[in-house]
Amino acid sequence: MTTPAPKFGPEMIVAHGITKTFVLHNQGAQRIPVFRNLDLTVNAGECVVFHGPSGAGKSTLMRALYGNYLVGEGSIRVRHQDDWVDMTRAATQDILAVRKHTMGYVSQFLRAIPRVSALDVVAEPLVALGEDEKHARTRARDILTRLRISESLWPLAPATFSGGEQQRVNIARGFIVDYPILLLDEPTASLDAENRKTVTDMINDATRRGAAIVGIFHDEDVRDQIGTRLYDIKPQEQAA
Amino acid sequence: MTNHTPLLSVQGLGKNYGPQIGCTDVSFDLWPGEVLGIVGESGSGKTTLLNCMSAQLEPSRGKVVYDTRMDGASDIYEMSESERRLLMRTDWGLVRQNPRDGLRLSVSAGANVGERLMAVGARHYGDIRTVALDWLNKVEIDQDRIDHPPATFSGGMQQRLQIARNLVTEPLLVFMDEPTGGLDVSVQARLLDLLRGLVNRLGLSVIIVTHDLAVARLLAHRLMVMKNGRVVEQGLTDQVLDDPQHAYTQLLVSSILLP
Amino acid sequence: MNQGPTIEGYNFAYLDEQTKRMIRRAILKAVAIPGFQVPFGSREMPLPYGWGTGGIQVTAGVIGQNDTLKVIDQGADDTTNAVSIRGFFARTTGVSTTERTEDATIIQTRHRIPERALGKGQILVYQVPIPEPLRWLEPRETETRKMHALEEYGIMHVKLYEDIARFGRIATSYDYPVVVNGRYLMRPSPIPKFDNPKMHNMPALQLFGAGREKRIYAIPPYTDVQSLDFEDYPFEIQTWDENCALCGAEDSYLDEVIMDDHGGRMFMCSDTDYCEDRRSQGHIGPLGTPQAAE
Repeated sequence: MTTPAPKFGPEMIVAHGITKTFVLHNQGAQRIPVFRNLDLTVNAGECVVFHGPSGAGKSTLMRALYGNYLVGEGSIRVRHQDDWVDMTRAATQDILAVRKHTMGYVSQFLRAIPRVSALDVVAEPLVALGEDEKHARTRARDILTRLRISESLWPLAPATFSGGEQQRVNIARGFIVDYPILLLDEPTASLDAENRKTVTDMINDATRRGAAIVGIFHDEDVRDQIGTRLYDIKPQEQAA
Repeated sequence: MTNHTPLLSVQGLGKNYGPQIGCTDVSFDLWPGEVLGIVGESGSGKTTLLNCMSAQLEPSRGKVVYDTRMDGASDIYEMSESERRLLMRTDWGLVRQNPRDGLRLSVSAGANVGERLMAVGARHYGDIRTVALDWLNKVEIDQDRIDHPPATFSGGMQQRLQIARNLVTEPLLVFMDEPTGGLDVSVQARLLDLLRGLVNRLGLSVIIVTHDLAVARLLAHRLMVMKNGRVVEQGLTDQVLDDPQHAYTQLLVSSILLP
Repeated sequence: MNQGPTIEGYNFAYLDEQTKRMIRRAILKAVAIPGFQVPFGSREMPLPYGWGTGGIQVTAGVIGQNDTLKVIDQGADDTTNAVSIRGFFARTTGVSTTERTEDATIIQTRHRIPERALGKGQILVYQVPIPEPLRWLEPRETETRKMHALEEYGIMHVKLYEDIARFGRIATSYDYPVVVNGRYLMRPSPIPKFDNPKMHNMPALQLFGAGREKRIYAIPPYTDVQSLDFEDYPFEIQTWDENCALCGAEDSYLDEVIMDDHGGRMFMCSDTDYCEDRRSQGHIGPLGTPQAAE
């Protein structure tokens, strides 16, 4: 009997025993527990889909992985180049280095910086890595074209775009660098069928090249097409 | 992965005005290319802290250690006044809240930008002028205004000129005190853009004091929140603003008016 | 030879001995730190500030019984002020006076350096209105002292830059700033920039006195004195299209004299002794008359 070959690559995220409770000091120190003692491991080539009802803490967990939210207990280790970085206690510059090189994040909402053109918003992560500006812009154009953002919009600031257009700019920005780890929070929420298909393809391309992906998708179809495993988050209970 | 020596290391810094605490117990390290935002309301001690760090005000306690190019890590208050003043003119920049405090109003824009170069020995008029024109361009001031005195400029232009004046010697560390204060919103946006671009392109380290959280979010990698002279919270900018832990930070963040 | 003061009730050279010692200490310090402004206790003199009290106090500090004194104002020995000051010293010291540069041991001057090169053993005393070269940009004395101490002279070049930006050239034509001995920035008093090169490596001792501002400074003999400039706008002295109308000199500083109401003018040497000397040697310009043989 042969043992099956390992399906996925090495571990990229190892989260252990993480707990999150919000304390609202100005509302009488009201405590809002979100999750307790969660463990999560994500390997290269996997696409783990967070699954749970609204308010269960899916976005919160994703933000914690990104270092955007703090956790009360536990560790979140991320493979960064040849080393491991614990996002819960690393120095600022290390977290920023992880975000720059290793971990991409497509949030639900595009935080629009005034006056920066859509093209430059998308090109920025490549430029930050030292890529030549012209080449970065070319890549940005390619992705924007793939996502069907009209050329006339490229020099404009995305603040005036529709929800779906803003979302696609956000996605373009998250995919322009081939991050080893990608966190996707409802990337297809405001998209029509055509664009949903394009984004699904892009996600599958990423898993195929060996990225470790964590995503939140409310659309079951999309979930089925790209997810390799579900990760259940029930309100206030341990994960399986 | 990490740099081995911080560019600036502040250790136990404190300043008293008689029995009154200006700021106290401040410690942090700043690395090359980092932007640190210091936020707080009036009276929080942030300006006192900035002045102590930037050699404008001698602290009551603590050290400010800067990684100099020639002599390595040096306590700036152990240096001679001459060395400190030289540091201010070369490696450091200081952008004041009111540009009129940071410019020579009666001298032309070109001379304002060129002064630091002349102070460190530049002696070719043509070269100095070329550099000045280049910087006016970088800060989006019409090159035709090079011979005009800044007394004739608008507030936004004066502020941009102050930035050019400071950056002309390619400093490693720039201190900014409310650089967008008092400017119209559209002018602010333009200035912030400029600062972002310059920080990214020149790899500057910046310590920026501001009461405006939006400015902090846009420019700073890290944030320190001050209240009553003490640092109550510090961390990654987006983490401090999105997941504030301290009561005061939560209050600050929730108080922002959105249009 | 010197019969002493001809006026009763005054000390030699008007000032009391303690004051002269104080001035000499200031002079010694000034000579030890070329170009550095030494504060001194400027005394009340029998003429108001602005008329040369600083120069007079310096001269009074160094003059001795056997000195020979020359006093010039704008190069001339016969202007009112030169005559008054010369007379003042004649009466309070009894020293001989002269109009000939080569015969003087002390030359007090306002706004010119004599054309004839000075020699070892001579002293040139300048009258200075404003000693501080940085005053135009920095009104605070506390700050200018620090700038001199820390050699922060960048803003002086700012002034020259402004001139070039505004006028296409460095417009300062007198009281042109110099760097002495490679260290201190100095104002040479309102001498024309034409005279600046004479200060460099001069064999004579140069002393500067500012009475109202209470400063003394000095350039010891054979000291390096460089006028500020830019590499692409080098220091240049004034030139004229004409020569001296009286003696034909091509190399002296010329005054312009309006002769009539029809625009008629002539140029003549500002240094009267120099001009007379040339004429006595037979150099006659287009408007000059031959001197009677001595």
